[in-house]
Amino acid sequence: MTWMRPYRPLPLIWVAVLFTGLVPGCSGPAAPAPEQPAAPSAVVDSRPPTIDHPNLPIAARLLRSGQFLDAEIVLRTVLRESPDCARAKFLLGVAVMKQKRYAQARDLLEGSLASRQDFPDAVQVDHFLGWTCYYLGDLDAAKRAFQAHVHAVPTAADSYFGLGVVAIDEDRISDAEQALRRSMELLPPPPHGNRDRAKALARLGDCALRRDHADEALALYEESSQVFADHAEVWGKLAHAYEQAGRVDDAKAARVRQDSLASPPVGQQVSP
Amino acid sequence: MRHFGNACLVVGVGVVFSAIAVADPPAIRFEDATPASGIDFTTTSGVDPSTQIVEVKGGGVALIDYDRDGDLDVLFPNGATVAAPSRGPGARLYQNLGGLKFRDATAESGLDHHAWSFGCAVGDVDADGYDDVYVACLGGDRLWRGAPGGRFVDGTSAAGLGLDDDWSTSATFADFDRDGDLDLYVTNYLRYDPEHPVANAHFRGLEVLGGPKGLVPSPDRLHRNDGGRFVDVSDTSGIRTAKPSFGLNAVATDFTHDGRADLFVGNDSMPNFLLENLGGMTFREVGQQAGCATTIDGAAQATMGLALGDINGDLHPDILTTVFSDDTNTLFASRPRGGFDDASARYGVGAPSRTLCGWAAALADLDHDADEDILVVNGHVYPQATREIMNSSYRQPKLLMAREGARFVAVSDPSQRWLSELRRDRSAVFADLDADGDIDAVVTGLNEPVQVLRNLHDSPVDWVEIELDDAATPGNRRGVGARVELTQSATTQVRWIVGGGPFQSTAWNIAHFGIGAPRAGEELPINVRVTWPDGECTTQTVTRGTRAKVSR
Repeated sequence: MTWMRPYRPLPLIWVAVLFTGLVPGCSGPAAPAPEQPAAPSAVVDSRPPTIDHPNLPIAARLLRSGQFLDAEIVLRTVLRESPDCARAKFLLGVAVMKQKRYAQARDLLEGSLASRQDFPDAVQVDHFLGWTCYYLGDLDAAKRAFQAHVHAVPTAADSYFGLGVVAIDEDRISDAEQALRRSMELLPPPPHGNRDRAKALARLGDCALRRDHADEALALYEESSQVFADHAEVWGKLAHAYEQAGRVDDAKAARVRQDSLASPPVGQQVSP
Repeated sequence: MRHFGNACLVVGVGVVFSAIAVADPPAIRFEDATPASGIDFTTTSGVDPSTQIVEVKGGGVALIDYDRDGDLDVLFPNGATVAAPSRGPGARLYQNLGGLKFRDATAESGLDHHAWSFGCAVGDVDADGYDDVYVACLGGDRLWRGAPGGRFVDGTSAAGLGLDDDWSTSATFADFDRDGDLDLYVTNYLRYDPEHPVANAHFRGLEVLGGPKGLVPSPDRLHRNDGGRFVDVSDTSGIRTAKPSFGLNAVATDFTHDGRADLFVGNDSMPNFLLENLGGMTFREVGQQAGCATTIDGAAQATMGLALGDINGDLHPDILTTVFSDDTNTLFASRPRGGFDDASARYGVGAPSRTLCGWAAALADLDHDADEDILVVNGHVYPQATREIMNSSYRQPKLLMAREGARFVAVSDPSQRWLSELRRDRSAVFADLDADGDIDAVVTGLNEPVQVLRNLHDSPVDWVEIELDDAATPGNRRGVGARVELTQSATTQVRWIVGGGPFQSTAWNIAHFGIGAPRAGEELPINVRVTWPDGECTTQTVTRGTRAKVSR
C-alpha cells in the first residue's frame, strides 16, 4: 500500500545548492524562457536582517550526504534557538521533503519565503517548493514556484523540467515540450547531466505518446534508456511502448530491467 | 475555474488536501440524508484504532432487491474483531421503503451471518427468481440464497462453496462461459491467521501495522456455475498462471472487444491483472501487454476502487482505479486498437488525489449533463496518519470531480457539508435509491456510521434509466455482461452492466444516463440498443425521465 510514482530530486540542484557554497545564483547565460515566468513576489530591498546560526553548515553537510533525518534533528535544534531563521526553515523544508513529508515541507519552505530574509541559497527555495507542491497535487502552486525560480535563476534546468512535468499533468503538451527541451539545453554536455537528460527525454516521450506519436515516443524512451540506464520508470515506459508496438521480447527484457531497478520487491518489510 | 492557495488548507483539523482547481459553479449537489434514512448502523472492523491489516479494509455493501418489490434494498455483511473473527455483530439488511427511507429487516430475513466479511456479490445463481448473496470472508465464504417471503437460507455447502480458508476481499458474478448462468470470481488478499497477528512495520519513521508487504499473497479463485452448484476451476482456467497477488477488487465486462466477459483485477502494491477470456472458461493474464497493469511509469499501485466509464468517447470501457495516498488515482483509457493507456494526466484525475487514500469510486453522470463525473470515498489506513508525517490525516474528505470539457475538475463547495466531512470511508454503492432519476450513494466507513447521500439533482426530464430483463436467460436475468447504448441525435453514450463493484460492493445493474434538458420545441427520439451477453441485440425507443425496461 505504499507505492508512489518515483522521483528522485536531481543531483544538479544539489550541486547547485549544497556543493557550491550554497550560493547557486545565476551561474549561466540567461536565455529566453519558454514560459513567461511570474515576477518574484518578494521585494528585494528593505529585507529584514538575515539570521544565521553556527550549526547551519553542519546541517547542510548532512543534507549533502543524504542524512536527512540527522539534518532534521540539527535543524530543529537550530529553529528552537532561532525560530525566525529563514535558512534553517529552508534547509529543514528540504530535509523533510526528502523524507516525503511534503505538507510539512511546504509549510517550512513557504515560511522561509515569507520571512523575506536574504540568505545565500534563498533563491533556491522556490525550486524545492515547486516539487513539494507538485507532490501535494497543487499544480498551480508548483507552477508558480517553478516560474519564480526560473525567473530568478534562468539556468535552473530542473525547474524547467518541473514546469514540463506540471504542463504534462495539465495537458499543455506544447508547453511541456518547450520546457523540457529548455531543461535539456541547460544541462551540461554529456556525459554530465545524463541522468537528468534521460528524465527529460522520457517525459518528452510521454508528450509524444499524448500526441499519439507512438513511434516517436518509443524512440525517445529508447534514447532515454541509453543516455542513462538506471531509471526504473524509463524501462517501465519503454516496456509499455514495446508492448504497444508488438515487440513482446523487447518488452519482457525492458520489464526485467525495470524490476531489477525498482524498489522494494514484495516480500520485504514495509519501510520508510 | 477558480483556485485555492494556502487558504484551502483545512485549517484546524490538521489536514492538507492540497490546493486544487475547482468547478465553478458546482452543479452536482448531494445532501447527507442519513438521519432520516432509518439506517443508523455503524460497521465493525476490528478495534479502533486499527492494529492489524485485517482491520483496515472495512466491510462492503450490496444492492439487492431481496423482497422483489422493484426497488433496491441494502445489505451490509459487516466485519468482526481479531479476538472473535467468526463471531461479529452480524450482517444487516435494510429494506427500501421509498423516498430514501429504510427499515432494518435483518431479523425477519433469516440472514444470520456473523463471519468477518468484506466484499459481496449479488446474483440469482440458481435461477429461481430470487437474488442470492455471496459474501467474501476471512475464512470460509458464504452463499446466502434468496427465498420466498424475503428470507435467506445458507446455501454455501449445497452450492459447493465455502471450502477455502482464504481471506477473500471481493466477489464478482458474471457469465464467463456464456452458458446462461452466473459464474463466480473471488478476489483473495493474503494469508492471515488471526491467532498469529502480523508484526508491526515502519512507515515514514513511525511504527504502523504491518503488511501487505512481507506477507504471502493468496491466489484468486474462479468457480464455474453448473446449475446452481459451483465447481472450482481455478487451476484449469488459467487464472493461476497469474502471479499470486494482493487482490482487492475485480470487475467483469468485455474489455477486449470480443463479446466475452473479461476480468480486471485490482491488486494492492502489485500489478493489476487483465484476465482475458479466451472462451471455454479459460483465461490468460494480459495486464502488462494491455497497458493496465501499472502506471505509465511502470509502477504498480495499491489499487482499491474500480469504476468503469467511457471517458474518451470511443464506446469502449475505460477504467478508473483509486489508490493509496502519495500516489495518484489512475485512468486507464481504452486505445483505438485495444489495450489501455494511462491517461490520468490527460484527463486531470491524478493530481487532486495525491493526498488522498481512495477506495470506492463511481464514474456516473451525477449532474445529467451527458458526461460522467467522478466520486471517490477516501480514508487513510494508518491511524497514525497526520498531515505532518503522511501529508494527510487519518480521516479524509470525499473527492468529487466534475467533467468540464476534456478534463475532470475537483469540486469544492463549502455549502455541501458531506463533501468536506472527514471520514474513514471504504466501500460504497451508487444507484438511484429513491427512484427520482439521479444517482444516490450509500457509504460505509471503518468503524463509522453508514452514510446515505441523496442526489439533489431532482430533474424529471434529463435522464433515462434502462433496466434489463432477460427472460430468455433466467440465470442472468439482469444482464450482467450486457452493453447498453443510448443514442440521441448524433450522440451515443454507453454503459456496461458489470459484475463486481466500486470496492467490496456491487455495481448497480441498471444503466443510468444523463441526457441534458430538452431543447425548446424539439424532442429527438431516444434510442437504446442493448447487446446481451450472448451477443444478441435489442433496440428500443425510450422516453426521457423514465426507467424503461428492455426485455427479450
